[in-house]
Amino acid sequence: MKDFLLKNRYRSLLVVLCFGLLSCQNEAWDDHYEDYPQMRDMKTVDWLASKGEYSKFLSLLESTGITGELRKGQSFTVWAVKNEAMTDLSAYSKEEQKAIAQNHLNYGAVYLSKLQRDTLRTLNGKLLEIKKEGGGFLFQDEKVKAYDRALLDGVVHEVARLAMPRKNIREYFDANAPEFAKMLALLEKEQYREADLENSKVLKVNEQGKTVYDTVWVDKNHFYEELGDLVSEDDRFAALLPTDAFVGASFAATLDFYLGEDHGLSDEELAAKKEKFEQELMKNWLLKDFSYASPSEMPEEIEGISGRLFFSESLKNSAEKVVFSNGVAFKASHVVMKCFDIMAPGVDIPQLGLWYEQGNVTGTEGMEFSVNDIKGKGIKALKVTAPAVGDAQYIDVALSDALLPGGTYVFETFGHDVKKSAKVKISLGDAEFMYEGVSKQWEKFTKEVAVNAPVNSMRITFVKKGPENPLILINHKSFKLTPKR
Amino acid sequence: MMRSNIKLYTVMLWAFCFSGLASAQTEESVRLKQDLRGLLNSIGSTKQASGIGQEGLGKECKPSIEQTLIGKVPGLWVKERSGMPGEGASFYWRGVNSFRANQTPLVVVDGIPYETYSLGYSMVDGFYNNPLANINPNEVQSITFVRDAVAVWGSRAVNGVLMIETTKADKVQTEINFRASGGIVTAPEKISLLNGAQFRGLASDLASSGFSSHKDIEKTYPFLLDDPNAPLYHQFNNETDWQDEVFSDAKLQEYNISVSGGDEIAKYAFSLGYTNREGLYKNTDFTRYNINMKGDINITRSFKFEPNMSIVLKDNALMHQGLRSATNPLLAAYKKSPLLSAHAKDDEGRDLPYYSSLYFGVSTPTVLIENSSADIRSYRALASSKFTYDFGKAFKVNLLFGLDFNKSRERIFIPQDGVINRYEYSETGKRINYNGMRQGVERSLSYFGDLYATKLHRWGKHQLDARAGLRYRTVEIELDNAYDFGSPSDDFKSVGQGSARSLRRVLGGVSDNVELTAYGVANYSFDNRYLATLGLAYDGSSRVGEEASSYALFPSAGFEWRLASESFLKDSQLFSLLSLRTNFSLAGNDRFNALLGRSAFRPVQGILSGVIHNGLVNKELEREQTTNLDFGVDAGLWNRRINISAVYYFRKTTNVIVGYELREPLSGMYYDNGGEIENKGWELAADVRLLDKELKFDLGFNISKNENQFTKLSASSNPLALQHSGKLVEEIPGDGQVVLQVGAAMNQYYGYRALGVFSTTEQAESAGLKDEDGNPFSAGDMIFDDVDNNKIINANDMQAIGNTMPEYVGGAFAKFNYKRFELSAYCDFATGCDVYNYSRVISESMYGMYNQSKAVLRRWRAEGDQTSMPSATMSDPMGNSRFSTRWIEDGSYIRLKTVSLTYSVPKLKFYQNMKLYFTVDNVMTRKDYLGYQPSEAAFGGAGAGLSKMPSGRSFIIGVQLGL
Repeated sequence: MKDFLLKNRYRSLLVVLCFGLLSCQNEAWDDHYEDYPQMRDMKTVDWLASKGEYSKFLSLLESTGITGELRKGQSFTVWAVKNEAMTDLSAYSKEEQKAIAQNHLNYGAVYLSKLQRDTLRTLNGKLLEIKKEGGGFLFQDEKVKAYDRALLDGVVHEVARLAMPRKNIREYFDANAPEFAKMLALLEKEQYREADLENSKVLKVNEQGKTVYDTVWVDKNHFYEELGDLVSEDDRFAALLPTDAFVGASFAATLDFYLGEDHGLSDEELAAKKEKFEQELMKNWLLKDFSYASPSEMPEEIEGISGRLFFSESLKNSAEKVVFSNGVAFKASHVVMKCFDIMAPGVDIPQLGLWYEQGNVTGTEGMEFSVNDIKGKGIKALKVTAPAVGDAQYIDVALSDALLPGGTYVFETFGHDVKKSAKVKISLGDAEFMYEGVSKQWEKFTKEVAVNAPVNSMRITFVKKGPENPLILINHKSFKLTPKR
Repeated sequence: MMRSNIKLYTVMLWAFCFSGLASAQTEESVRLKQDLRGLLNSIGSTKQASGIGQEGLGKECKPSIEQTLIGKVPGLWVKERSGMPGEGASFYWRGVNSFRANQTPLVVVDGIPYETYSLGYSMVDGFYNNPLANINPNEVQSITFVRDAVAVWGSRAVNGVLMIETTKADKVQTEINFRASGGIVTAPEKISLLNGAQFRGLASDLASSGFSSHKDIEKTYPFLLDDPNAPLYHQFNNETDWQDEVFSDAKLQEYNISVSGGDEIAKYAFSLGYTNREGLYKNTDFTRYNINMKGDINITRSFKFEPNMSIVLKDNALMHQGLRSATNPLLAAYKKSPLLSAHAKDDEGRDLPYYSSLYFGVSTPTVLIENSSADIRSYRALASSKFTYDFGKAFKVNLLFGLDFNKSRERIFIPQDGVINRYEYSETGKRINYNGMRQGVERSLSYFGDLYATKLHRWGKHQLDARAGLRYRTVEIELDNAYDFGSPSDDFKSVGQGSARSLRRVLGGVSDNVELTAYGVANYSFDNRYLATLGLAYDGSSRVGEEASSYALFPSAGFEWRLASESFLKDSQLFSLLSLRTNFSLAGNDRFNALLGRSAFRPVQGILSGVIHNGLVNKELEREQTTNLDFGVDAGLWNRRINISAVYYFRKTTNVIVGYELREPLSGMYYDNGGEIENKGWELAADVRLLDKELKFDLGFNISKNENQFTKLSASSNPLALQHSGKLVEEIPGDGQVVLQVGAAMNQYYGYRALGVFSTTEQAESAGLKDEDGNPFSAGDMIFDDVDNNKIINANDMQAIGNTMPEYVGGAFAKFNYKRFELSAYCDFATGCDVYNYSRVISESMYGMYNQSKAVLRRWRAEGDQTSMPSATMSDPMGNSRFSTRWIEDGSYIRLKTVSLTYSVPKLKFYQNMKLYFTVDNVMTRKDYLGYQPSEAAFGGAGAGLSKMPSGRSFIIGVQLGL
């Protein structure tokens, strides 16, 4: 061998040189692009499998077919639960189990140490909240016990307990159908179908030259479109839970609020009012711009989605929270909704009034209307007149019974929509008094008036606009005039 | 052997004066030497030159002159511009000695200076229009690099002279030579990019960093949901390898026929060539047609006439290679998401017959490859005549007259569909895509005349050989470029069809330069032992400042002592050659923009039309001046089986042109001769014939070292110019910077030093680094060196982070001859240089929804990750991808450039000789650089390691047939 090498030393040298060159080519390249030390050695599934303490969770993923999804080459965040914290899911159907499993997975690796977002879409379509609290995190209100275990195809966090998928509002109604019969009936009524011609297949063009489609129908719902999409996982609603009981009790409470027990309505009138009220309430139980963590923070008056207001008093005392995947509802026994138009005796009357704004008076067109009296409650308002809009600033209310000299009468108002600091002058003959708007607008305002001469009409004059909001609205329904007993 | 050495010397002496070494040598034995050993031999005289003979040229089937020179000339670093056929290379000889002036060697073809300096401009982004590509290497008989030719060529020779001799009409017997070759070029290993799933992972990291609401993420990037019912599901669920859309293996072919012959009165040489080389991008290629005619006519005994004519037609189909991913297909292929497809998809995932919309804002590489075009067609005609009158007694008078005409026409089209176009709104508010048509024409015409006399005189042991002459040259260049935008559809590709008339632009320029040189050179030798050279060139140039002196005197001198010829070594068995030599020269460099020192007006159009002055210029701007001094030793041992040559050089360049900002309220730059640069180093070349029997085995190498220093930065003499504080920072392409600091090497990269990535929040918090706006660097962000220790990372923390020029360059060869076989291999290398890898900036910054290389798989993702790759952050608010050492890579490489096997077929009746050869080019490269070829990344302050077409490995077979 030595001889051979010596004899062929040049050739040997060359061979060594060539191999030397060949063998060390592109090392840096490979290290950089291909063979760098793997930072992640396992896929999420394999990692879970390697950790015995997640075996129950993993078997849930396996039995529901999710592991197949995990192996598809996407990147995932897995919110795993340790065996000791796993709930027994045998009572749930396969479908439900799958939904539960999917609720613990989302696409994309979300590292909590670099968390920027507040919601996460899980594989079952729910948009879950993720919150920072104290030094830790909450995943759909479940405590995150360990986080940011980075793996080849994603990241695993550990949550304290299974985060059971929450129902959205509609699912909740469906699941508790007996309680929501009225609400569901309404939603059913609002349902309609529409042809989706864009996605329909054209079959032919008929003799009249019209295109004939194999129509694809799309189910739509007016309620969802106009008021709130109760099946959407992307929206967040706050609501009053509209059980049948709640709807009924709210009617009773509102009726009592306006008319008292001795309302004197006939059965038909009452039934009509009830129906009308319930229809209105069932379109108004979603709360508008609601951002209060608890009912105690609520102002006295809150607005529903269709614009009517509620007095929040009843909620404060009895509210219990129900959490949906797309919102939260307050479970109250009843609520008082502001609806003079419905509660006024007789048929419904359009809301009328005058608006005093920036020194000008505008109002409901015509401004002359007859009024039904409020039975048994005192003097009736017969006719309300106002001069043409713009030039004067008062309303005259014709009274059914003349106020007699020497008598004392009680003027009551709910303070309806007279803004704070705005002033209205009420004139009953010679007797005059100022009525100032108060911030608590639903509070009653009471004034005793002594009358020295017969009075047949009451005049409401706008004196001063409010500083905060230069608006005064006087609704003829907002006062009562009764002889002092 | 001694005799042949003397002969070699005399021959070389002449070679220096007139042309390349090889052209003057006729004997086959000498030719062989030139081939490889000639490289070294040529240095063995006071005239420093390195030559490459025809043999060396032909066998390798080089696409260009530059390729032929790679790694072969000591001290000359030939750096390819890209693998785009026809783009050529830059030359750096003995370092860098200027910022503003051209540093390429003077090219002289058949005695006529070949204009290369002004003709490089192209409207094709990132392309250098290489004039040397007009020369067919198959028609070249020799290339000689002459180091110190200042005596003859004056200023123009400051960076050496590249002498190219085409086939001469010097044979009486009729020779017909046919040469054909063909081959394929394979694309290099692709950069590994993320696949669809990996991209999705990156995209979700980016989306998480950019949005707080998951709903917004889904709305912006619906593909992240992977829902088959989601809109555009099929549009976002592909697995496209965009590099495959760009790259394809290429073919090349070359045919050449040459005929020469004649009698003692008139000899002729004629050659015809065709070359076609495809580029590695689809739809790119380079085609060249050459005709070359030469004559050698003895009109009388003493009056000789040598006509010469060559015509070239060159067609280049190119792609944009600038730093814009909108038009550079390679950058677009790096950036474009693999989930997307070239064509739009229907609901079932079938291709629709139109291109997909441009999601994520990256042009579709397929469109750039298929629909965009950038074509250059150029013609070049070179005609010359040389008249020689021999008065006898070795006294000759020569007149060389030449004409060099060049015209090139560029046509560029950038389509609308599938390309991210800039856009503007027209006067009527209509959006006009900036898809563009560009056309340009460049013409140059150069006249050249050289009248000179030569005299050779011998008396006793003395010999004097002198030449004196007067040279005149003019170069006229005219350039017209037209830009048009917004053609109605992608079928309209010509200037004039654009709808955006308000945007239309026409640019042009004319330049006219005159050079005049009176020169004289005398070579004296005594007894073949002492040799001395003295030269003087009185050089006139029209490029210097208006009021500076146009003329300057440049002296040169050399001395050589041939020890081997001395009596004490005459009979030495060891030394067959031993000589010591030294050379000195002073030369100027006037190849800078003449407008730096001349006031001029230029027209403006706009609200006001008229002419404006080009501002305050330095009318006294002078040539840059380089003093070159070198000492060399040459030795030939054991009957010249071993040859060694070593040179030490020192070059000092003064009057270096530096830009100074003008004081307010003036604006713009003012140029003055304010800098000084020193280059020193050595060059060593050796070759050895290890075996010299039936099997011959030669080995050789050359290596050169350069040390470069910016030594002085003077204040400008003009008080209106702002002075530099010893430091000059210049922008380079790709948002990088280089710095020029007195006392340091020239053009060092200037940026931040990256020290790693913060692994944990705790680590980041304890470091407490912030950016200039007070935002803290957190876990997953880069750690940058806080030079001033103020915890704020800002411009004050920038430092020199890498050399743009190599310290050592060189090459090596090995050659075996066995009977009729010959196997040769060439290597080249460079070390000590750094490259700014812009491709990695594009493919590893992780700041947007762009595809990235697989390297980002090791990005920081979770607390505690130990990695050098920061986290993916939308828009990169902390500047993790800023110009830093992260992108500066060691550009050292050693490359087995060529391996060639030749077989001489035994002679048969119907032909004189036949050779078959097989050549592999770019065999392999050993490098740490993470881009393609480090030699193709730009060094020398020229810019970023651009994302240009890499060179492939070519396999060529060929035949050479002599009839």
